[in-house]
Amino acid sequence: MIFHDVVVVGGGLAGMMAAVEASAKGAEVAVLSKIHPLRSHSGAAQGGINAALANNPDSADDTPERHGYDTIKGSDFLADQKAAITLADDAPRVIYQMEHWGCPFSRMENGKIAQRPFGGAGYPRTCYGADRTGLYLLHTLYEQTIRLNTRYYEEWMVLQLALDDSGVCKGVIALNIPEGKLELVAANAVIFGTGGSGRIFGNTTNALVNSGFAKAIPYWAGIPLKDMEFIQFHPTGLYRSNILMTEGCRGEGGILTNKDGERFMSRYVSEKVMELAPRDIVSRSIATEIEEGRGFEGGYVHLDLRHLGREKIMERLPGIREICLDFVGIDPIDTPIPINPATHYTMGGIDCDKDGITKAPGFYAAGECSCVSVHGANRLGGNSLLETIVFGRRAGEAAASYVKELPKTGDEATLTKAQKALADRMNSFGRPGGTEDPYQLRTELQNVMTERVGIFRTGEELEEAMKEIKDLQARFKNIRPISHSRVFNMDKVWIMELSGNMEISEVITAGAIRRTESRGAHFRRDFNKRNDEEWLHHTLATWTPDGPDFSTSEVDLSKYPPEERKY
Amino acid sequence: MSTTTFKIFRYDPDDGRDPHFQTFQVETVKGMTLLEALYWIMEHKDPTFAFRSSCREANCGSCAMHINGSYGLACRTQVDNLKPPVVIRPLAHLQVLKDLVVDMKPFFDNLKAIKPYLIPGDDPPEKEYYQSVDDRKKIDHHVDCILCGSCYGSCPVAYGDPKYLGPHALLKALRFVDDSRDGATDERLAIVASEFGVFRCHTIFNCQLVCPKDLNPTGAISKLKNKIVVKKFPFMKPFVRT
Amino acid sequence: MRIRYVFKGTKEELKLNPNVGTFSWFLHRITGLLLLFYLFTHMWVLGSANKGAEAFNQRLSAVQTPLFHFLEIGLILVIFYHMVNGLSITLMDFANISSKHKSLVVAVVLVFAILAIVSLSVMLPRLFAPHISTGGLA
Repeated sequence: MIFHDVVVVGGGLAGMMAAVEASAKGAEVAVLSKIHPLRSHSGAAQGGINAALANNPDSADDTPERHGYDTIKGSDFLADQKAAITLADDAPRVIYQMEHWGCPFSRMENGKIAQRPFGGAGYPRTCYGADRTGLYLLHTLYEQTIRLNTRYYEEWMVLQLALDDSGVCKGVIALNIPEGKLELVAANAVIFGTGGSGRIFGNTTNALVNSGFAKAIPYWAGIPLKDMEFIQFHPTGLYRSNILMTEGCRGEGGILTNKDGERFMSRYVSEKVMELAPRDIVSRSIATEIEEGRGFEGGYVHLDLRHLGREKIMERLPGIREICLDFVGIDPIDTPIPINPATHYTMGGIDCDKDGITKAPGFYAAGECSCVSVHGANRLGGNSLLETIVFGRRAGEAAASYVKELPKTGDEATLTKAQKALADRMNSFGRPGGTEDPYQLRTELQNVMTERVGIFRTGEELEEAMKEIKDLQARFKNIRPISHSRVFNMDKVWIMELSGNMEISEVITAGAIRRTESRGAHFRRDFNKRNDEEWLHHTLATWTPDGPDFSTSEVDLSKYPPEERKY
Repeated sequence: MSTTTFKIFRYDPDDGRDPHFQTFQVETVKGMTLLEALYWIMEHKDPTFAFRSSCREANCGSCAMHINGSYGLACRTQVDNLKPPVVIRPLAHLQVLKDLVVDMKPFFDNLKAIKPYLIPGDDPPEKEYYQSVDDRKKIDHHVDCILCGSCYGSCPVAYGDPKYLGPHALLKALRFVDDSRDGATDERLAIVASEFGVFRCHTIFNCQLVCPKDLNPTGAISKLKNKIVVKKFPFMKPFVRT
Repeated sequence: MRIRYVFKGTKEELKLNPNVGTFSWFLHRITGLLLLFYLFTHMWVLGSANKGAEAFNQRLSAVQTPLFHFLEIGLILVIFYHMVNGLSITLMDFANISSKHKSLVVAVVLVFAILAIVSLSVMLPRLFAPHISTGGLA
């Protein structure tokens, strides 16, 4: 058994930020990550990170307060308003912090951090480093962890959370992938910064590693998941491969056109915002165009950057050009990019407050895997990088102060018990004689989610999806035995992740069936209006053997009363 | 749909066999990337097959490997552009853990040696450091490195000497040396001027050739050499470009 | 650490990096060694001058054979390659033109080819008419 004061699970931005902050506050920290920290999906974030720095001449009177309001309005008033304001208030400070640590942000003529306009924001307040902001931030934080000599357990995949009888978190059970051993990691506090779960869907911008498993771990341990039915679809995923084409493309002036060459966004939003409406609205507009036959054959529309000119594209969007050349063989300088909406972000996640504190003492969550909630029903572009750093920091701080007085010993009995529970769970599938192909099931699950739980939902389709998910879950119990190889058993890793996907897809679908209204990214054709009277509250899903048990929690509306969301 | 022959390096420390190549017939479709082909093998032919991957968009650096005679990222390589049989090997100069998975520890240890973090020259201001557009341009491409290891694998010097810092670490060193906010230039130049630093580079250009991000580690090393020369012999300044 | 270098000592190793840079680096090392070998022979001949004109002439005639004339052609090529490649590397470092590596390789090959052709046109006739050079030197 290994003991660390604070164990951070996940080596992306939220996890590393929590680790840096917790060790700065005097805790002894270790980071467990399924992949090397630099391979985390935070690095794929492109467009930028929001903060009301008012550097851009167009945003001279921007304030954190306006940032907070934009976030709340973008969330369709499902965000907890105090949390959203905390996010906006902390933003400038953490951006300067990252800059002082060496993050190579792009600069304006006056030598300050450059900012570009983004969807749903009243001012250009998205700080960027070309179109590789996430990569720069990730490398900067990794460099800081090298400076602090942070202890890493690379390629250790956490499989189980160990809670004692009174529900206090005592550590995790992890699979040491390179050695193929189960390891008991005891800790006084565990921080989850495990990221999103886009791979539940087939058409996703997310990395291959972003499965639903990390959300399923606390869910199985009895910690509720919040607002899981809200899945963000990014308007501009590259056609077929669904690789992200940053919102920065539109921020820099890129336009969307349909097959008639018409700039169709004018049909859906006011002339003032056009392509820079929030993501849910743009995605629905594109999907409507395609559905009504105004898309190109195969189901896509064009993202046109040609009028920006070679120089601007090479300077501000070099990564986009590289991806287009590599994956579709076109050069955006002289050809429009074929794009379609793609699953991008899970607004929901582990239920926690703005210090990452969850129902279980000693268990914290931050970043995309958590739901504070600042994004409510729809996240604004540029707020997710901000969320990871702001709330990663806060969770690290909270965990460090929590462990201060605790004895520095591990609770072996609880971990052993958790290991037994894990063994039971792992034995429930892949028994000898099983015949189902897990990868086939994974594809089928992804197809069900993409087709039935997508941008436009109806009660009927959701019910069908639910039935199919139940059926897939039953078939999953009968999969072929997992490969027995010891070292780097990727088969085991993928099948474990599939087991999480099976669970989380059910939570998403059940939540979507339950919420009979349309709010933010959750759009029901059969209930296409927002319904504040019945549904202005968070959905909480708690695990039971027969599927999720739903309850609700209040939305914090202390600052702005809900109003109609118009752009 | 057509079939393509793949010859893939296999090694499992547990099965008692020596490293060998295994041939697979892969059903390929147009637009398939090498990474998808590898997954096809894992999912349809051999679930014990191991390789790393994450972002599948040439951004994370997990899937660097030796592909048909050169290094590159599997996710970025179109199968159509490869001449069959496609021969896949792991990154060289690093211990193979299994199949295409290598132990990257020496690679990152080399990186750590150059102190890869900003050591500020002045106390941080209340807001951001001032950095002009031109100063930012100096580090424009160096900061794009994703540390995939292609350059390290391709470097014949790293082959001969595992202690050689390697193109990736030296490129990173220049990224900080050229950063107007950094104040530890002398310290870093002393590190890269050491026995295992820039002067071990033989200007072979393999790193520049294979870099999936089109960066220029060889050029970075040359620049560092010049900076060291100028620091030692200031009269050389008019003769070299730093 | 059993297979730290999986490819060491196998023919796989040669296939790892078949790039221009690898070959030019490899050739640079080989030519360097050959030049070292030549320097020793050179000193062996010249050193005999210490023992007087007679001894020097005797030793010189030992290397004025068709075989050595043939080797001289190789020597000149080795010198030119090592020189041109070395200069190009220096240029690359000091002038910082590493991004133009490919054009530089072309330039190296061209300069080397011109030097080789010129020197061969002078030396090849000598190979078939040994008396010209012997007469000149003696």
